[in-house]
Amino acid sequence: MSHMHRIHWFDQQVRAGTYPNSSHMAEHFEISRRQAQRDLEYMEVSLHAPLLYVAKYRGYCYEDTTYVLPHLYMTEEEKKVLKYLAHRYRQYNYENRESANRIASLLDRFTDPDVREMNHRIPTFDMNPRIIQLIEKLSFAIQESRIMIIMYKDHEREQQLRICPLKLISQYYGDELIATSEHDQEYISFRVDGILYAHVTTERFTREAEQEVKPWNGQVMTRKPFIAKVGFISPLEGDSWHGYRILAQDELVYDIAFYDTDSFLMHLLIAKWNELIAPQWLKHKLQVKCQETLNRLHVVEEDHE
Amino acid sequence: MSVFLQDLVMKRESKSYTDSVYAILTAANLFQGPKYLLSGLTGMAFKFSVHQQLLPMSVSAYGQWGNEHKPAIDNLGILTIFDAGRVRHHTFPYYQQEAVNAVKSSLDCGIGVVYWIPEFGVIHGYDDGDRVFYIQDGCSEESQIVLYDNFGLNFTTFWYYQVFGDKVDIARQDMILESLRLAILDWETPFRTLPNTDIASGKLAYVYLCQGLKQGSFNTHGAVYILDSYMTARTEIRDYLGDAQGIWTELDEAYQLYGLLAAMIPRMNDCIRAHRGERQVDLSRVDELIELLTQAELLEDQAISHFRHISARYPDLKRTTIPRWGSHTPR
Repeated sequence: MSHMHRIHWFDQQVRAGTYPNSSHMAEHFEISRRQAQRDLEYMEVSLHAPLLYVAKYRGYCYEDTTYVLPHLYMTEEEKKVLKYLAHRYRQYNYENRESANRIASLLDRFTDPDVREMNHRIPTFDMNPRIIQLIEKLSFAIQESRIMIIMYKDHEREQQLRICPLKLISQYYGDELIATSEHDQEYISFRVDGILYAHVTTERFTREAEQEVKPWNGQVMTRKPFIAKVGFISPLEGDSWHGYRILAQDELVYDIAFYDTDSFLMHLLIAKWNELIAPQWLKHKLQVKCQETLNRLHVVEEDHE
Repeated sequence: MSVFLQDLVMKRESKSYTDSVYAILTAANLFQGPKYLLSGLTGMAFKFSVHQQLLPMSVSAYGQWGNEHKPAIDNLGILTIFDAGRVRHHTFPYYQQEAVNAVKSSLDCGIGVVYWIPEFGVIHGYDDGDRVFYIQDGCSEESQIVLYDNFGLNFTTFWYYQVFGDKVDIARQDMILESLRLAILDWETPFRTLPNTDIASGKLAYVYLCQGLKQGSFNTHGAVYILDSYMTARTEIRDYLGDAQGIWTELDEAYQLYGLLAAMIPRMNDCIRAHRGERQVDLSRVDELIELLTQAELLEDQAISHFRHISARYPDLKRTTIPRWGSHTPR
């Protein structure tokens, strides 16, 4: 956990509005800039910190100020579990060995460096198999839009209900199922551990388009990506175009999601594509950028002449 | 359907809100004259707020925007409608939808819209095909693009937009009188964002600024931004009062005082130096800067007392009539 105090320091600086960056961190802790950058990367990727680089201030702020660093206190038992997992990942010697080893070193960061030995009893996980089975059933019903019959017990009574399951969400005390009753569209939430019995029927329900996009339970709305319609000469492999998520495909035309316009423009300048169909504003920006570059090249050529 | 207001150009010179309103109103032919006149008539030039740590947000944290901007635009005789809130509210998606519609109808009429980016900027176009708004921040020539779906979403967690309508003519003298009253109110109210007391306004803002500089652990960028904005505003006030000469003798005296204050600005500016390409307060000249600010506070205090004398001569219906809903807006 040696680098956690640096992350805490960085978090405090961001909250104080001082717009810190990796150089500040490197200077403050007398570490290399590369190391500081790795810490920031770790914050962003593993701790999901919504860090936003503000070019104007040359530093970071939080895009969502409600973000808190996850609690990093761990019980001895949890440390053992992580140690065990790190151990297993390090021992892994088959396909994708490198990735597994990377995970091992990541897990190692959370554990005490002085506990090197793995002579403890292998830990076991307390996970109720009934809940695992139930979650699997619920997920299937949500995916297939199937009506379910459940026996649900709350603090008042036990009752049998026919429901249209929509979504599973995680709360701090456990999982919750969001559903509507068969006849009206009002949302009802059920604690998954209160569902005594669940049966997936063969009947389907129709899901209104709105139900899928509606944010639920006061969750903060997240920013939606821009979508570019790009045509290619040959089909793309996988579900992303060099890291830009593919949302939909119509033959050789793909809907590509992106958040940052500048980096996507850069990508368009270096990657291969056939046609940029939409959005218009992106075409315009790319055109302006290319024209500026051409003008500059032109000026340089004239100078040479 | 798409609209793009070509004539609307925002330029950052004053407070971001003033710059936005100026760009919109001049393009829509609802206001003629220099920017300092708008800044003075709306009372925006007199707004001065400072966070204890001299954070850059101080400059736009001069109060609850609804309560500050409404009287400002009212004084110009222009119809204005605004809405604002927090994105965490459950009903936000519905408000967002309404706001998108309102912004589009204003653009359809050829009038731009004030929008919190942050800071304030101007929405000057939309495109239904791509479902985006075009936004100017006044710093970059390139428009920022915001999806309808992302309207109001930013790192500050609150959203704000304001549209403008038709105009009625108000007598110049009445507008000036009201702007002086807005200035007095700003000067005399120590905290405009209660219950928070870490941001001071008006006279107390000077104290916070000097204390912050003295302590030394202030936000370097914020300090320069606050000082720049402060110096611009004082120059605006001087020019504004210069134009209003000859109505009241007290106002002429206040103009003299602001003239003296504005004459100190080059010396204040000298206390800021470039360091690695970034302007910073010269730490070796902090005492000199504090001394100048203390003198400026005295001058401004005297000028405001002249404003009080002018104000006392005329009935002030806006502030002496208590509306049905009390002294606060019914929100």
